[in-house]
Amino acid sequence: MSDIIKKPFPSYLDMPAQLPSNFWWSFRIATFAVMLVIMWLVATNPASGFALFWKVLIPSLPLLFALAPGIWRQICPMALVNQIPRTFGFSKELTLPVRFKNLAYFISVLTFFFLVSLRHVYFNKEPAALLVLVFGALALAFIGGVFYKGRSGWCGTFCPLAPIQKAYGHAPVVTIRNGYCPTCVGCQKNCYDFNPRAAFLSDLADKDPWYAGHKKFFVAGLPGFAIGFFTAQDLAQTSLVTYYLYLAGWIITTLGIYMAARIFISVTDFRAAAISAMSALVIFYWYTGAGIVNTLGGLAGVQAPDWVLMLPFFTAIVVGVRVIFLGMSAEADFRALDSGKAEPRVGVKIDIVRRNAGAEDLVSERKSGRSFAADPTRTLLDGIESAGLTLDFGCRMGMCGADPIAIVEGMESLSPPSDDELATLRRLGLEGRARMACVCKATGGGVTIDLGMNPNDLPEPPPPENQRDLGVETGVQKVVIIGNGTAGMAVADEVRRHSASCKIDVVARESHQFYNRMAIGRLLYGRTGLEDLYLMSPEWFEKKSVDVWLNTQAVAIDRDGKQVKLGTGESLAYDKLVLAMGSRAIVPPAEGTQLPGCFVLREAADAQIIRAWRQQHACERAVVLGGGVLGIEAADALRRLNVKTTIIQRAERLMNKELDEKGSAILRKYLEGLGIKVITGASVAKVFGNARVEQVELSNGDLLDAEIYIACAGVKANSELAAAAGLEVKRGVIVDAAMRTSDPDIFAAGDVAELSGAVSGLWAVGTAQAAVAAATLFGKDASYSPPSTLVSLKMDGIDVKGFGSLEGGDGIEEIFDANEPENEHRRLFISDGRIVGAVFVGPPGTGQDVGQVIQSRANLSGIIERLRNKDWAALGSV
Amino acid sequence: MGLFDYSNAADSVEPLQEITFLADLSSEDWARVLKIVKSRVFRAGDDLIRAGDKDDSFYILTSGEVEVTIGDKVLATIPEGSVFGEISFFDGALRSATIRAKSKGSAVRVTRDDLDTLAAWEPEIARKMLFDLGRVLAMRLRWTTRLAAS
Repeated sequence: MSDIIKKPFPSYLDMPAQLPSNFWWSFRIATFAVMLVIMWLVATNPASGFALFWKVLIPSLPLLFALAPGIWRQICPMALVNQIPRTFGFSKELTLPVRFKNLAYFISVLTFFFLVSLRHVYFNKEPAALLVLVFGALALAFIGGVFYKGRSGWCGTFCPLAPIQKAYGHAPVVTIRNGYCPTCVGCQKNCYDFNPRAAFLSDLADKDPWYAGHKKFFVAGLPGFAIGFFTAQDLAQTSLVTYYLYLAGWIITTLGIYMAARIFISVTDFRAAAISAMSALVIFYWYTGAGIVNTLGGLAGVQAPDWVLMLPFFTAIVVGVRVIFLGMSAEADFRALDSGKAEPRVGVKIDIVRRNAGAEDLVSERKSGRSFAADPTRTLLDGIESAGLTLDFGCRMGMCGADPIAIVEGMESLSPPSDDELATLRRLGLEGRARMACVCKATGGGVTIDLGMNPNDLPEPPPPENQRDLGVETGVQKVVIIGNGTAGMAVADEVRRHSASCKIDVVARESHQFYNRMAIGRLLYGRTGLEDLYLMSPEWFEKKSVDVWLNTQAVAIDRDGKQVKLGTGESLAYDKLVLAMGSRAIVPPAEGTQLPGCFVLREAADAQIIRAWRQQHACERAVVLGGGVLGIEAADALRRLNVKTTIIQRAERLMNKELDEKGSAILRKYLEGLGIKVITGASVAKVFGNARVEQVELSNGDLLDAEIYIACAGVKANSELAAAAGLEVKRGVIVDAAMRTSDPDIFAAGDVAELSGAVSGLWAVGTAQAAVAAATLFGKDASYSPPSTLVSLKMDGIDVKGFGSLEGGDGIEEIFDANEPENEHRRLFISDGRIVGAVFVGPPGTGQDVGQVIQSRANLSGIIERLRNKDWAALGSV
Repeated sequence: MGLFDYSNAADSVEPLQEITFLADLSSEDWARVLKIVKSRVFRAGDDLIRAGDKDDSFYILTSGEVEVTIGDKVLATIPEGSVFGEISFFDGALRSATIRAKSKGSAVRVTRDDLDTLAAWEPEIARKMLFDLGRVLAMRLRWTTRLAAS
């Protein structure tokens, strides 16, 4: 049962049967036969019969009761006869009246004291009396079995040996399963056979003071009774009255000691009872130990040495101490259960869950004091989230810079940073001080991070000596950048790296400092504002002397005068100008798209307006046009805002540019599982509404109710300003590989730039182009080489990655697993050891390795065989 | 304390037994669940849940022992294998007690978002999980009712 939660008090029903039933039946019959033989000896040869009975058999029982009471409960001859009617089906199986259930123990206690006291009077010396006693008890046990159900007719109720078994066996050293009750019939209160470890504890803790009281009386009086019994004067020399007064005197004495202990040293009832019972055990063997050894020695014909005579006594001490300790442990469990007010427990199959949960090394987070597993297959961001902590993340690719974390110690136990991560850390000025949580993994223990600490506050490495100032060398002293998105800010950062003296002005149409555009969905459903999305601290702008003109529009470029005219009437002179205005969402023409309630989701302000709209008009339904990355991310954000959302995708499947059929199908199934409806092969024909959006009509004629309509169907470069200035513009501002426009003093980077062969809309492309533009404007020779253009869906709960071409061709090897799980899809196209095309869709976290290998453009020649054998874990080892 | 709930006894009251949460999930099922929900490790003294926190998750204690505390008072000890925290998972209200680790250990933490994700990936398992959580809640409610009655 180890897969079930551990129970502190298992009932016999929870225990495995240690030995087969046949064994116990043989053992019972054998014990019964031995007893008959002894009784026959008592009748025919009283000297040896009495010796065997009173000097060996009976004195052995207390130790057995303490060590393994269950053995006696299995083989006791009285139990055997009591259970015969039940076994053979002729028991009347009456229910013992409640009155008797409560009274039975008291009767058995009195009977025990009385019968034992009669040993000196009759049973030790009169064979007939002993025979009457034994066979009388057997007869009563049998009669109990004929009338009463379960073990309530004798074993657990009237049997005079029951109290002493409960007292000595209150915390069995060895627990033997009850073998008589195939099913529990619930025949008695606090049944010892049902739950041996809990029975005595429950008796003592019973709310009925009378019921609990006579248990205490028995166990407290027991040591006194033992002393009185063994030290009483021979009845030949004293009267019966004196004898009983003497016994009573001793019982009262130890009862008094018990009470005094309870009152003056406030020992618990259970502990006082346990100590009392074990004292009685030890006292018993002090008086009987030598007799047992001598009798056995006499039977074997040997004279035992003196030290052996003490053996039973010392054994009793050892067993007594052990039982007391076991009892205290049981008491602690009992109290724990009681303090929990016995709340029913809920557990899992612990072994199975644990086997699948993994990892032991820890990463500690200083601010919260929480920890999470150091798992080389999961990022620190995953770990942080698993610990119930939050960290604002962005691209999950180590590029946007949203989640740098301070590493307080254990930097050496972290996975080495990729080029992309290094570039990000450099941009943030955090190289060597922090890591990007979304890509960094802990490969071992001993790592401490601090989410409360701004990584910028960590000691800064000294600046490199003799750094050149290209601004001074080339005379470029004024750089103006239009646009403060990814490309614009990357240019600012790079320009500052090249020149400490150059003046940098950034003209920003939006009213916010550089923020994580990829995370604007969070502005829709999250309660926090834009603060969490900022990617640069205010100190950064100050330290880098970058002047950002927020909420400012560049309205014209005076190329001759080398000035940018601002909408405010001001002008900014430049030596070099970088255009990084990015792109804007286009709304495919359809009737009604000018109605209030039609939106795009491209920048922070869009998200804020949509959130406000959803609240003002209690919007419940939305239609998102576009089943690409942006459309799906928008639909997910709306879902989290509790808006029922439908995605309309013109193509036959979602993310058709990046995914193959199966990948799209898994993604669709996942979205539908979340409650997002997907309609493919259709577009929006018309938007209806009385004053605002109410319905959307599709090209297939379907009508959808919607109060929100969001177009995520592509972008258009913000190139009007460049065109007006006479620069060469087609879809975007035409640039060469050095990111120069048709004017040698004007450069363009990011979405606004049009360079043959370059994709747009990707973070990595923007920053790579920015680096080239910043180098070229200082006269350096630089040429754009496209970075890895991995497309990832930034959505919790699923990993979706697309890269390159899925067409295959000469020299391109395709690796995939025809027997892959239903929910996971992976295809890799490899040429010369490098991935040239890939698709991955699967549960969260499962696509990280593929993503990192693609981004790092790692050579896979070393693991190609493993990949061919579908050993995907090999990707993690690159 | 339920130690003598003679579960098949004819004359005993209906017992509040222990529930094995998601008893019929196979090892493979659990592997699938644990791809989506996260396992969290902790050291002795760490707080898994803090009173007053807003946190819509429940926990499965996979190893170690934790205790329920309000202020300085320890109310109960939660042993390995237990499921707890399901009330805030359902109602999203603030945590009423702090759960502090008595030993080092680990726990699987399931948020409501996790359940949504699980439902999208593994609808059958998620259905079972939700149903079983309801069963846990019902059993604990019965227990509370019984406690109030006694």
